[in-house]
Amino acid sequence: MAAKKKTIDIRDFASTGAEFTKSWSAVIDAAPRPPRATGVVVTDDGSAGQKLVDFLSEKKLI
Amino acid sequence: MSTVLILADFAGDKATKATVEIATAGAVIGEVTALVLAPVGKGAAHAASINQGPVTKVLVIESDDFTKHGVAACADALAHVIGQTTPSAVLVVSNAFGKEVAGRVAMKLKIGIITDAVDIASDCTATQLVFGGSTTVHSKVAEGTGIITVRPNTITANFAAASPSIENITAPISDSSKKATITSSQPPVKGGRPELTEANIVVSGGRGTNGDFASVEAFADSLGAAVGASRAATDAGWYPHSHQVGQTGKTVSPQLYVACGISGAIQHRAGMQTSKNIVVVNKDPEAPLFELADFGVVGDLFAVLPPATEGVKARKA
Repeated sequence: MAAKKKTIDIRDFASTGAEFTKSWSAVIDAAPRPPRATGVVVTDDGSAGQKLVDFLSEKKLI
Repeated sequence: MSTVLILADFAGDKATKATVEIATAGAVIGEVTALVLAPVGKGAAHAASINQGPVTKVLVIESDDFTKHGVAACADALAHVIGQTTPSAVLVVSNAFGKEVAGRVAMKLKIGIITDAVDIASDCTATQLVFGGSTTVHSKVAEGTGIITVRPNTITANFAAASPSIENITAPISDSSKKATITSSQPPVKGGRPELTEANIVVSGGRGTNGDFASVEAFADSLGAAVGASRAATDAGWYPHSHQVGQTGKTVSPQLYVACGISGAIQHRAGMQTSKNIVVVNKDPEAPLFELADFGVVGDLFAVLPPATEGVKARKA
């Protein structure tokens, strides 16, 4: 594992001679999205198709 | 009152639904002016099709350079108009064309750009969903007039009738934008179904269809939905790659997403998990997509979809 024995050289940003340029856009905040609410799961007993239609109708999707 | 400039998006000679959406988004910030870039002779027809949404003014630029030199010429014209009208913000539809135009304009004018916004606040703060929709980010442009591309189908469009004033203007197109010429172009072959990324409802099929998309298509047609497919289905050659939903396909965010016979690999979820309502039909109760489902059916899609299709038809009749 030769790679793991390499020394790591830490430098000061200023010593590199590079400069920060002002960004043209800025992130204000970021947050993980809340998890989705658990839905209803039914097992098909022959009527699941109709139950699906009822669900869509209840949500006013059809 | 501040003004917002939007770049109108067209399909043929008609303004798209996405145009109304960005107009609606822009109206939160100020009065909306729509810019129409049309080939010579089409300007009036294009401008007249902007008859919905909160648009107060339409600026029309006619030039054959837009069809001949594509995005480069369009970016020149948009940058010119931004310089002339100094709007508070510029909104563009987040499709391949819009994003390229926006990127070029941002570099030309040295202004900040935010892509794929799903909402915009009155102070121009844009909301973005990143990492396949798992993280919400608020961003703001820090330099110059912000140019923001807005993802289709994420903003509820205000379809109120509009009768904006129409003004014809001109814009210079630089020689450097004419270095590439489009010699011919052909619109994609369209079926009778809506475009996948703009559809309100998407019905997708995966490995569980075993190559038979008839039930999926019939259900989609009963709902007036677009048809999508998982990578398993497109790689098997069961459905065209242009319909693939997921990380390497299209990202959709419809009101309703119906996944049929799709187990829900993380790559597929990345393309659809921001959908408002998710319905999952799968034989395997362990399918990970059930975690996202608002309504799940453990069952064979060939047994569930046909009665559902009839049910929807009956409900609509």
